[in-house]
Amino acid sequence: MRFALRLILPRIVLAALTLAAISVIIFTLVELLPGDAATRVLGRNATAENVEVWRKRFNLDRPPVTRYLLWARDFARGDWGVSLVSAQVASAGNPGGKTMRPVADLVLPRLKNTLILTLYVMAISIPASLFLGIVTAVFRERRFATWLSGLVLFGVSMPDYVIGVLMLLVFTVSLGWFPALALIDQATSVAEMVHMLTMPAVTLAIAVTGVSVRMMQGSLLQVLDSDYVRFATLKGLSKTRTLLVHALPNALGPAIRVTVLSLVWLIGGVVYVEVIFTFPGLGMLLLNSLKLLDTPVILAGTMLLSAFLILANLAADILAAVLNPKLRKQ
Amino acid sequence: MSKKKHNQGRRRFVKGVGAVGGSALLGTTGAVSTQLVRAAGHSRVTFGMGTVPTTADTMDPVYRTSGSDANYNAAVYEALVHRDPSLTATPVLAESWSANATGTEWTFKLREATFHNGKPFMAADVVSSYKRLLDPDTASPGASNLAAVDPDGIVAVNDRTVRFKLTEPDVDFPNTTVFSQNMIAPEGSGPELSTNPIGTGPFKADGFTPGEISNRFVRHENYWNPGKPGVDELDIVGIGEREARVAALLSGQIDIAAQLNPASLGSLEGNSDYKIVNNNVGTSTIAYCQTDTAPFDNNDLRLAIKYATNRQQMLDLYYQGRGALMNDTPIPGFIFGGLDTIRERSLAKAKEHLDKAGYPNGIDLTFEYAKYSNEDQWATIWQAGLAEAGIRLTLEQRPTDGYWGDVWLQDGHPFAHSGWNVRPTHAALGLWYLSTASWNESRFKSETFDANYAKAKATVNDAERIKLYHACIKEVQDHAGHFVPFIQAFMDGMSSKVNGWTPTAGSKDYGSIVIG
Repeated sequence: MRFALRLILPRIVLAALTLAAISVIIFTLVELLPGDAATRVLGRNATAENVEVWRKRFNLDRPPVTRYLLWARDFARGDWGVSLVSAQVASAGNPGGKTMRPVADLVLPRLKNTLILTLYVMAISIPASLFLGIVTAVFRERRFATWLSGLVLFGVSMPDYVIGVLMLLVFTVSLGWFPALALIDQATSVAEMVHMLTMPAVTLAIAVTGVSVRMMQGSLLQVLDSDYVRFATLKGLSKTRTLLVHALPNALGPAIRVTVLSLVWLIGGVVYVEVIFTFPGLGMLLLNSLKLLDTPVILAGTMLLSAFLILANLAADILAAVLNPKLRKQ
Repeated sequence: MSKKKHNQGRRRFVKGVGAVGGSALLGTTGAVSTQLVRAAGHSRVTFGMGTVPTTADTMDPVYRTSGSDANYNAAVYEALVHRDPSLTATPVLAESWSANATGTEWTFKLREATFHNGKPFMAADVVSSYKRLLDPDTASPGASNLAAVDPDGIVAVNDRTVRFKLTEPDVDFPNTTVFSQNMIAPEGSGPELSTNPIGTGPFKADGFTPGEISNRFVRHENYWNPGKPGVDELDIVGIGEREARVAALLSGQIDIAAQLNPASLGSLEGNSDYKIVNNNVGTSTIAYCQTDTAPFDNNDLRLAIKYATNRQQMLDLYYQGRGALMNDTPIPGFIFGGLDTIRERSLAKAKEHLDKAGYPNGIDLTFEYAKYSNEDQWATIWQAGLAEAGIRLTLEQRPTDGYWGDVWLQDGHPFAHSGWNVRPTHAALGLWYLSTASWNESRFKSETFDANYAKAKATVNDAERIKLYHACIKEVQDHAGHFVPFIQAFMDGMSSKVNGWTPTAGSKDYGSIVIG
């Protein structure tokens, strides 16, 4: 317990400070970019008179410092604010349009979609990396393992959008097995959703798995060559027991770290894959908001991702410590 | 009584099963038909547009800025007049119109129509929609199109007649009421239209959400045009990637794939389940130079570039010849008032003009562009043609974000890319070459041009007016800083069962889409 507290507490304090610093940096960067939401939305119609009125419409007429402080105050209270450019959706009792749309209303549905896709990717990727990592390390002298390693390397080297387009051409256009558009909001059953998400999930799983297999394989090879594994073998332990009880737990650490990084990458938005499969994920929303310079949405998105990155790393540290007897006893 | 009712219900049920069975049978002939006939007696068309929906999308016509808005608004709203695919003015909410002798006063007779909320369409709705659009506090991007309209001169003569007083003559005024910002909403409407639109159009919105990839529109039962719309539901889906649009069409998820290009037609051509509909009144990628900035202030340099441009090669390489050659203005000869002479390429003449401009050894120029689709290819092919005359281009790619605000029209960026859909001659000339026009990207200023244009706007006789337009175009071709080698055709791919849809730079007519 004390061990856990010692590990967690300082990090939480640091995390809050980091988040505050990130929000200042992001806000400043967005301010420094040429133009603002008014000029971006107006595009070719951005005459000086138009821009002035639209700035007012978009609540951009106050000085930047005031806008940041107001945002920070609301954010600290748990209010993510409203989008600068997006109108409130009409509903019963609210004719819509006259007010702007809450940021949470924009971000949360997209985050949900992205989490579903990420879960699917992890469900493919984690067992696949464990299996491939062990097989390619244990049978490293066999020819099929070399081939497998080559294949994995191929998966790592291919950019995800190339894999995505190839998948689209083969499985949608030629074979007709999967739909081209992953419009999961329209799915009426879990089966339909899985059907829609298979192509983007496999595309991403190929990209993610390759890295963790390489990591897994590398660290396992190192452990297998270590003195204590040799000693376990000399002691007469079975090969399986040596591998699963003595070698594997020590080799998992780096693979877990890489998996966590992939997880953050997946949640942060995999824009190319979202574009190719027309998937309504967080990445497209953030990119779109960045193009429109919709500061509250950009800030909420980056805060969310930063918090996630910090928490995921913390979880990875704890998991690695729990699995590794050496770290646990320190 | 109750038994009879029960029987009826049963009969209806049996009939329904038969129809569903029928559509299932149809389904075996191809993936497409199952998508189109989703349920017996209920038809839906899914339109795959090429623009990505953004959270800034709005259904309030006065605030319309983006391409996706234009697609959505055309389903729900109507203007007094629309432009057909050849850009000719056709009556919609106005049944007919007439002008006084000088073209300064226009009277529109209105059609009997009903808004989606059941309110009858009246002259007061036209007056209030236009006043809201022209209000400086609205700052509508569409207001500049109506610079000649005096807001106080818009009067409801009676319930079915509306009159516009203009500050200067404009014989083409009806063709200026077509813009999507000019669409008519009920009197008293405001920004709530953004997500809760009410118009007179063939479809009404079914819970519009900005930025959603797919938005649904359903039949307006009281639509004024009997027999339209041709389908019960219209889904508009934004698919940014061309390949994904084609794949979605081939997998039957969408019925129309808009904004294709020659490279993406391969899998559709020669397949009898699909067809491609072209419209040569299309769009252009162009270059412009600021004629008030050295070295582009020298017309001989501009002429050298025009003579050195290899138009045919550009059209062939960039767009597989699918389009029309142009003569340095995006106004084609095949629309009203256009002029179809094309400058013959001549390296000798290009060199001659370069010499005259003072560059006997050629010249190095920097050309800026942003890659919205394939502008890099366009620029590279252009560069190769110009190099043969000693005009050496350095190509500089700028980010697409903010290109229209930070590079286009700005000082210090004298030579850059732009692009335009084809527009009617009168609109095009006024938009790009009038010395007061805010979109006069080449900063072309000519008193002769301005005078000819003003005269054309006051000339009722078509033949006389065309002569004046030709004089304007001729002057632009020889003096302005536009470089327009060709226009490219619009091409949409669709299921061969879809009829009534043509891609257009004019008004989108979803109401005419029919299946079969």
